[in-house]
Amino acid sequence: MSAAVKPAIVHQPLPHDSAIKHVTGTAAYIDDILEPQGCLQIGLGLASIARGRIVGIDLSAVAGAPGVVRVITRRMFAARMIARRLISMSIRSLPKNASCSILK
Amino acid sequence: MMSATESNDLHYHRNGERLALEPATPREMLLDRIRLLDRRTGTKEGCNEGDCGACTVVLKRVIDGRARYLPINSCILLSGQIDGAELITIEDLSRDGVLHPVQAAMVKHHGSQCGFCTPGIVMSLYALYENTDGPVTREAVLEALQGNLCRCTGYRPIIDAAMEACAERVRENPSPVRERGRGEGLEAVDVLQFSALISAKQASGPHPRPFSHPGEARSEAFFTAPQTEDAFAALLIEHPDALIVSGATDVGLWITKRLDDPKKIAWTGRIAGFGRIEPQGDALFIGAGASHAGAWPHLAAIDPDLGEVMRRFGSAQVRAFRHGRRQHRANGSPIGDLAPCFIALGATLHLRLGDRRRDVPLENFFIAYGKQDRQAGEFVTGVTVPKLMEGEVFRAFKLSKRVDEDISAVMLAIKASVVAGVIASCRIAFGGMAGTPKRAETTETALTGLRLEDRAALETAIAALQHDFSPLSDMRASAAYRLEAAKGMLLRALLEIAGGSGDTRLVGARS
Repeated sequence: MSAAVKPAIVHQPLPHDSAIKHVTGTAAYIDDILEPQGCLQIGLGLASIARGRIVGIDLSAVAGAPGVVRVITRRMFAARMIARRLISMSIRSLPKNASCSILK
Repeated sequence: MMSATESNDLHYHRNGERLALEPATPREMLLDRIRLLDRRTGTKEGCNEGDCGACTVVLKRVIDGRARYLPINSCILLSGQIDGAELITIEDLSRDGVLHPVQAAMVKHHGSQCGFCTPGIVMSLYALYENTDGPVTREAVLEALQGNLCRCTGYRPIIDAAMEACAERVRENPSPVRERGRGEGLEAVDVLQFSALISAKQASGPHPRPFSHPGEARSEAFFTAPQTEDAFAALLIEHPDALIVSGATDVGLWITKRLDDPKKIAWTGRIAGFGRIEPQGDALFIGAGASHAGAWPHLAAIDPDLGEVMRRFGSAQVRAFRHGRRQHRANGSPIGDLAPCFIALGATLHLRLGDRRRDVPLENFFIAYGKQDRQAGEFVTGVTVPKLMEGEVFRAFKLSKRVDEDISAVMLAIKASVVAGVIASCRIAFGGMAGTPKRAETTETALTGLRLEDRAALETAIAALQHDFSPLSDMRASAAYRLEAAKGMLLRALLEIAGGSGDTRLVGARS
């Protein structure tokens, strides 16, 4: 093999695509972006214990709290199937009516 | 009394301009000012408790006639505390696409991956670069980065970048900050008492700055920084409920983590002479306003172990601003590393309430977890630490999961007086073993009179630690582990003092 053959990309140190943005503080992270006007915030209600069976949830106080637009629970989804699909990732596979009530 | 016409006259410099410093509330944190009000989002919010360094910015101050670049954690610094300094953030380092040498080296050496910690790391290295005149050692870089956590790139390329940038340092570089020279326009300030000029400008007396909040006719809220100790004392008599802030490395967390909303804040940072450190015969006086960095060499001179303890806690970002002796003393934390050392050395704390001054042995100051012998309106003015006398030896060991910048599971300090191989007397103090830093008095008694070479007798005496302490189990260590570790640490100290015990240390050699 000729010594003159020099690979253009492989075996070459290439800077990170965003390296200059990183070192100058101009790379934008989610927290750096201004919120769109009227952007709603989501708060997660998490289990307070590590293991247990949910026998019931009373969210009336949450729904009645000032500023709360909607309380979203599993029930909101048409079927467990959809919830499962949401978790397993493909948002595009959700039916159109399932994605939007959240964003409103 | 306050009036709306009185001004606190806090100010800072930014991009060559002198600006009035007007925090929206007394508790406004510098990071919030930078990110939310100024909308400069290059400075990141990571842990919000002064550990990760993503929020590092640099304060430029003139100290001893030289411009010094002090890296600080903006997340736990109150806005008012940048008074008199030039504020430099990541956005200020490059201009027209020309990178600062530190930035260029970071790109060249692949020093970023996700990039979130990068602005903070660049700022720490920028301070290192600007504060030194040429090549730096790997150790110096590691020390400069003690307060910056990177969880993806790994530090090696970052260290390479820092060493290369400093080694190839050229006096004239394109940093716009540098072009503004050696701090022209900044007031000359002493890092330990950066207030002489300010106090001359503004005679004395508390000048709380009133804050008005919507719905309140006249707010009592203020952030104030009196310029004399007398004025500070008078302010606290008038407002005994004011929160005393010095370094804010703890108070900052009360605000960011516990969501405290202190209405009245009195900062010690401008009190003239409050940070003085002076030898007084066989003792060292450390003013309550002294910074960690300022006290470090003086304490290391008392004993190398004390210097090692200073190296092991905090970080460059914390040290620069930690007017923290008082804070460290007065917050009553059971895990502060210096308190056990000072207790073992027999330190005395000086307090002041109005015109009344009193002295308290440090160990008596800590009453219970979070509770100290301090009345409302009373403040710490300093601490006197006796130096070691002939025949006295000192050892301090810190046990923590990380070497740097970590909270101790157990902290031991011992001072012993040894006469002809016999322990004539000793003072032993532990941190992390009780709700406060505490002496091991039963064990001290048991050890007194023993021959250092009688290892069996030493071990029997050390077992008395179980009568001195009932440590807690928490995420740092279990109670049983703490007790065992304490015994081991004490035995190790005694064996070292006896001499000829071979290698006893992984870090912090005494030679």
